[in-house]
Amino acid sequence: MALKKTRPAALNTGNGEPEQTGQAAEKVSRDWLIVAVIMALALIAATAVHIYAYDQTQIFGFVEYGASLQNNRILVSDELDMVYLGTYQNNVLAFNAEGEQVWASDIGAAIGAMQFDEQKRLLIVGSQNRNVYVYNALNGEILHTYPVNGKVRDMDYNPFNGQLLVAAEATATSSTVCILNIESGEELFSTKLKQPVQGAKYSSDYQYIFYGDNRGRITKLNLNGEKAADSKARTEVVALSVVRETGDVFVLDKLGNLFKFDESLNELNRLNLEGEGKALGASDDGHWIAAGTREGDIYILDGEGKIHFRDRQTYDITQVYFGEDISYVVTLSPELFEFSTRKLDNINYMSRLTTWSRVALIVSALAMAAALITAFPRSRAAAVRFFRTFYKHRVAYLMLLPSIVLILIFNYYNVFQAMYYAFTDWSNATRTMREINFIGFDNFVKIFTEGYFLLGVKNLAIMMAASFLKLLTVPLLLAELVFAMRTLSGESSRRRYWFRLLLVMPMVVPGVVSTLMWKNIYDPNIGALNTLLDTLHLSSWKRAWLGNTDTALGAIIFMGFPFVNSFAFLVYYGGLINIPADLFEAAKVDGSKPVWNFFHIHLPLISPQLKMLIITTFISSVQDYGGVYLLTQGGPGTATYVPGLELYYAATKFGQYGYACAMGLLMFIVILIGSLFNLRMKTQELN
Amino acid sequence: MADNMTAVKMHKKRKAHEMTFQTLITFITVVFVLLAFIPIFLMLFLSLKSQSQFYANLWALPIPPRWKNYDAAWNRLIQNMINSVVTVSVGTLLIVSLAAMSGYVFARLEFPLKNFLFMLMLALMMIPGVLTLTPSFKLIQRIGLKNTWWALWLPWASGGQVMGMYLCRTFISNQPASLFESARIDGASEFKAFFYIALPLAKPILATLVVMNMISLYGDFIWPLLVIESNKKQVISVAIQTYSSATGMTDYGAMIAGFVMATVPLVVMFSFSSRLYIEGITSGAVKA
Repeated sequence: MALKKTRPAALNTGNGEPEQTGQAAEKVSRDWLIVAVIMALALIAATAVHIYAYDQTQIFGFVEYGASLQNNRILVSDELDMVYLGTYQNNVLAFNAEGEQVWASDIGAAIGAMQFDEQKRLLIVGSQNRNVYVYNALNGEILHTYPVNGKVRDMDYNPFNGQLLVAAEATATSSTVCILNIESGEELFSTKLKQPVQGAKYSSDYQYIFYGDNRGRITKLNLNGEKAADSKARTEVVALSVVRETGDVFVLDKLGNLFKFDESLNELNRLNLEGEGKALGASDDGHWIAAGTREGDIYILDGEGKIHFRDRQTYDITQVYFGEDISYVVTLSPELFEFSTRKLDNINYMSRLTTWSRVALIVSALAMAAALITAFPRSRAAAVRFFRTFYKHRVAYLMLLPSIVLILIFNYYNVFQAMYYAFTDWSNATRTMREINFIGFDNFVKIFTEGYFLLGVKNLAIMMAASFLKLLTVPLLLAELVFAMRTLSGESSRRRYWFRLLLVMPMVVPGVVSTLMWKNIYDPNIGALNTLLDTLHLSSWKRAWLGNTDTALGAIIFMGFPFVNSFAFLVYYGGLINIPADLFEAAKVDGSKPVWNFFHIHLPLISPQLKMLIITTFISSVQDYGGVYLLTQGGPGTATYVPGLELYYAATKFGQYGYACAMGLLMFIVILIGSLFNLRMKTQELN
Repeated sequence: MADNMTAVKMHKKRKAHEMTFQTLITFITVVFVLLAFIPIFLMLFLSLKSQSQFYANLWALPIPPRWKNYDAAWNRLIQNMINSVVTVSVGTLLIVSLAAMSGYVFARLEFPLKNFLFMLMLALMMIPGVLTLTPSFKLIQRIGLKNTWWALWLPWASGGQVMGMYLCRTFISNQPASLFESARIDGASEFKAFFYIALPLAKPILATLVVMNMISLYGDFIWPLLVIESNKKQVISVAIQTYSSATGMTDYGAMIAGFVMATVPLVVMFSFSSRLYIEGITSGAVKA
């Protein structure tokens, strides 16, 4: 490049770069600057759209109404601008729009259901103390109290005639479904059932009632108590919801199965939600369904059953309330979540807009950068040079692309994640990623002060020393033996070929199988080892080899006897046969002995192979736990515990993910230091 | 004359000495081979025994042989064997093709950032699998690959290719540069040089990689245990454990017949590739 610059311009005319570009490159291009400005405006616009659209997709919010109580039910009156909470601690609380408590009432039992009469401004509360209370919604005065035959589980209200549908659990095995007039308390209809009922609702025309029982049956009755239709869910029905406008019935059962039925209880659709079903709500138009589980998951689905949202909270969900503007998710805690019902209607559009505005944002940012680079002569020249270099070597980059992409996603990303999470308290108790806290070096302190990690280090040291010993003896000896085989006339022998093959063959047994086979050999009752000792009249030597604290570690090390490591054998052998023949000739002339040969020719010349085997053995044995996992699971007691096993357990059955990452990081540091040390030794030797 | 006599004597003596030496080393090697095969013989032998034959006399021949053991193992494990063969074959194919490509690029081509990219890949050899176990599992869960074979293939291919890349690079850079020069002069593109010159010559190392990776993927049980949930999709290395603990106390013969069955695919694979594999490892490319 430097050479090109010093060349006179006249010489340049030949090579496709006309002089004009040379001149134009002198000054800043105004056209490109204008393009850059336009792109900057586009960027700003795209960012604004993105921020708005993204905000519209963030429907969940968090509200807290002062009291530190477990909420059970909510009811919102848009007319009065009031929010009513029924708590698990027996209170009915009323709040105004500013979130101030207006009145409170203690009824001595948990609240089971609430209904509202907008016209008469009545709040109807069904309680577990077998009563239905009618409140003046404005001041909390109790107007009527009606006893019902059981703990109220669900209610529905017909505002046109003032009749209230109540499902109440009479005993553990029976319940009552009845209809009351809330002004007079007159019972218009009542039926006793032989199963507890969790959900009961009017049909959309108030001419029928639907209820679901704990045997998974859904029944439709007319107001005379005659059965009009029935159908089945998979198990116990936990909630039932009727869509006011379409008349469809949604049912959630305890296994998380969500069913959609039409008015005549013909099943239209079903799907399974992960978790134990608890609460269900449907919007009046039936476009949206929300379901909650005992595990705290909130699902928002459309009427066709497609899941649009899933968010996990900390607590048991007790109710999903669909309001006209704002909907609420009630949990068995002071935490109350709201989501915007209005935003929900545009959600598909907005999430598409979010994606597209993000694309537009990136494109316009890139275009702006490109225009700016092109506008200035120096950066343009640099860019041209960059793309030329890239184009010239495009084959190399293209061929590397798949490898690099995979490595970045599946290795480096995870490495950095692990390094970050090593300093956090991430565990299976963490319900959402928000709850993860940075805790500094606590995990590392834990490694060194408690847990089994340190206990395992001693076992690991012994096992690692044994694996180095195994690596450096038998395979090397066998390689030397096979290498020394020759015919009497000094030619390389056919035996070499056969022994080489025979020594490699045992590697076809998969590692898991050979480990399990050795487990069988060590079996105290029918194992080959103890049977052999019996046969040799050495019964007193018999042991439960893997079950005995004194022998378990030894048994694990002894596994794989006689330690013919096929791979190491071949590598050594390959090193030996690649030693130039004239070196041996020279040694022969000097009258050297085999032992001298081994130490002065063989070992130095196969040292690269030795280094490779030592490094890989080191790396794999520091983190190894597969054999221990299959044979003893670290036992008996902690006799065979190794750090890798502690990590595996922390990451799986104990669910201490942050702690597991910290242990992984520590092992990584050990391996890094060990490997660097090992590589360094090599360079010294070569010097 | 006397000098001649001593020379002949010396020669004869040396020959006798050499013969003793050859006999001795052959004998020692045979002992090692026999010992190494004991678990395999034991496996074949025990797989035909009935439960009572196990308790009666372990060393007695399995007479009558109980072929039913294999029926039991076949019924329980055949689906998992097929799964293993499919997943391991695809995984190995991915690893070897990625390794061959990147090995070739690093061995033959010069380009900016070469050293950086090479170190980026090589550094992975020092990163222990356990470090990334937890985040990898969560990643697979989050991108919705859990309980699919992609959850095996992608991480296998990503992590497994590094060693292969290194070996291919060493092997291909030992190929005579003149071959590539002349191909280039004849106007062959880089892809052509890769496909028609480097790959055929690298067959031994590719076979080595195939065997090494097949064996290691086939034996991998921790990762499939985590990411594959349904038994219908599970691989044999995990299934054989559940099978062995299910049959372990009640039917040893059937359990060990399962071990033998799980070994068969590798035997088949090895019988096709052992020659190239041995050639590849002993070629001298495998070193630090």
